[in-house]
Amino acid sequence: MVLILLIESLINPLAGQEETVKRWAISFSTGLSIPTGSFAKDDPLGSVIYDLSDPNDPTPLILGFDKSKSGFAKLGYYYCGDIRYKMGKAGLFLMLTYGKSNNVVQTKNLSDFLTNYTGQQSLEHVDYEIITFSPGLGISKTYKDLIFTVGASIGYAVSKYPYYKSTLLYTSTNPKIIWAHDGDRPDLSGLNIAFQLKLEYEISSRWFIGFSSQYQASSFKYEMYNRTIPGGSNTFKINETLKIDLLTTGFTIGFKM
Amino acid sequence: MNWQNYYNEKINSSLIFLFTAQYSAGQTANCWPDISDNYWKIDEALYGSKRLSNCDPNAYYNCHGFVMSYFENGCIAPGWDKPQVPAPYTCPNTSGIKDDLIYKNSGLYVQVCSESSANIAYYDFGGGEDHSAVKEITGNGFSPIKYLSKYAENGPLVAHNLMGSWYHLAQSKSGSIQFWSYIGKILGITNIAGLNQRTFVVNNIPNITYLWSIQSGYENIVIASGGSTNSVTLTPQHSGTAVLQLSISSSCGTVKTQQIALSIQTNVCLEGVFTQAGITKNLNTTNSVATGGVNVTLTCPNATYFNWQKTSGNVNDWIRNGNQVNFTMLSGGSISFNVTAYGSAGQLGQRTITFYNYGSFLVYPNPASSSISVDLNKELNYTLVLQGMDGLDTKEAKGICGNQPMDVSQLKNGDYSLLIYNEGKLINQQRVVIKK
Repeated sequence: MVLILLIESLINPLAGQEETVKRWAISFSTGLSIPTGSFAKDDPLGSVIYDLSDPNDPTPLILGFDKSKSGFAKLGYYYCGDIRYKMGKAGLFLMLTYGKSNNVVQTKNLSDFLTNYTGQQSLEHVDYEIITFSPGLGISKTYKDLIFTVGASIGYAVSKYPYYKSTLLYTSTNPKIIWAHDGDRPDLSGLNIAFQLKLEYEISSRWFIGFSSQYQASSFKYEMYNRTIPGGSNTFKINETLKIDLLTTGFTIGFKM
Repeated sequence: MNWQNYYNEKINSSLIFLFTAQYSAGQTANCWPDISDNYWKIDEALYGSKRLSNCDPNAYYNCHGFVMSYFENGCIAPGWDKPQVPAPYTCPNTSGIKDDLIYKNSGLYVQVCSESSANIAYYDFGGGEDHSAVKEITGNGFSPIKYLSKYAENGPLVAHNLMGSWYHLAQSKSGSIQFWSYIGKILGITNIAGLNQRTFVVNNIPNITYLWSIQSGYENIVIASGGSTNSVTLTPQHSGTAVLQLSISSSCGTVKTQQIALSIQTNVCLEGVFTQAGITKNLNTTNSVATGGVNVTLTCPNATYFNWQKTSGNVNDWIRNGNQVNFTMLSGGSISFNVTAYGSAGQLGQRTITFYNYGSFLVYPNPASSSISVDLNKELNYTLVLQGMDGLDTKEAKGICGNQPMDVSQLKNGDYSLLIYNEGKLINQQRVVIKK
């Protein structure tokens, strides 16, 4: 980005001296975080991972759920802020985006599935909380007071460990025995790709408001070791991939400098 | 304690164990924070259970690992009638975290049909949840049979009744039970020296079928007796290697097998092998070989010199080198040696060795009208049998050697099988057409 800014300043050496051109803009958006694709699927049967090491076992041990097949994500919320630098008069701009999304997890079908398999259970899942930090490139066109903007960015994404635990309600201990990941739960990191559309309206020479929509995809690899705690005899770990597919849509307010 | 506190504690204790692990040979795991008898359903009067040893991060084994350690590593310190074992009970050597299939498929254990024949109970609770426990006959007059269970690596070591494990009591599990028995490794001396018989043995379990077999190297050692009991006696035949296999089964479960490798040195003077086209065979007094190069190697303990003397045969292309000789066998050819081994004390042994090639078995003329000839070794006697396809029209000629003709003039037209025998053994078969 520094290199592009340098090139831009060489191509357009007088740009920094034009006081009337507002090249910098910051904006803040918030709204709905809508899971799409496999991230929105709620299919325990299609995503369950069994221990199939014993082909004669009619009821093999459940090792976990393949989150790349079913994310079980519900509608959530997001907020993000970005800073843009407009290059020349063609409408091309550089941007740097920071965003955070939160989606709770649908657990009823998962609980029912586990209950039907081994006994009365109640599954809890931490919310999907994704933080992204992405530089990108966009272009905007202005028609009177309306600004139509498209952009793309590639960057870094961090997710909370997608931990879940199922409380075995049929057990008689206090507290109840649980079925859960037995190990460390580090934050996960991965690549984030996003495409955004914005329709903004200039309410003054500096302020603008509008609608923004963004599609973002990221994936995170992690290891999970689910078993009954305490006393479980499972010895198998699974390598998992969490695939995030989100469509965010919301309101934007911004300020030009 | 709720699960969040439990995990916070686990993370903190993990940091401590990062340091302790530097000084311990094995892995460690955290114990469940509630170690009370109430939580683990330990009460002799209430449940018929007794604590044998406390959980400890360094007692890093689960139920299946404990079963394997108990039988295979002699981890037999815990018991109903024994004092509680101080934690960590690391035995001499624990088997760690294991899956049940590891011991079930090791060949050292077999599923049996009744508790009386068993020394392991395997509980299948459904949904993939399972447990293994060691059966112990105790001095407890009221309930003499107890089962020793390690409740994963994060629980204590407990003795309980068959249906009174923590899984039964705390998780309301019932499921099904399989009974297993430890047969053990095949015991016996695997480096066999001399020709004396050797016996190999495993644990004797009632109602078990034992089947011993030689899987490879059966020319080097044979089963003398006891092939269907818990022991087997083998007779060495020749120096080399062999693999002894034991298959065990009962009316329940599947056949389990284990093998051991045997190394045999008979110490017999002037035994040996010959190699042709990369295939090595034991040396006999007479040996049938294909055409081409043959390498012969003899052994004789304490021998310093081998004298090779060709005594007969039409193969003249041969070279001796110490205890080895190389020659090129011709089609239908033969070569015989008289070999003497000498040591510092004089002559150690002497033997004759013959190599021959049966011939190319080429039949000519074919089709034939009056007689046929077969390319055979001139120094061996063969019996030729011509057999019609209907099985009725046959002709036999005995004492045939070399290319000696066989009269077929009395046979009807048609397809015949020519069966070629040497010393009563069928060695080749050709198709012959009689056409007049």
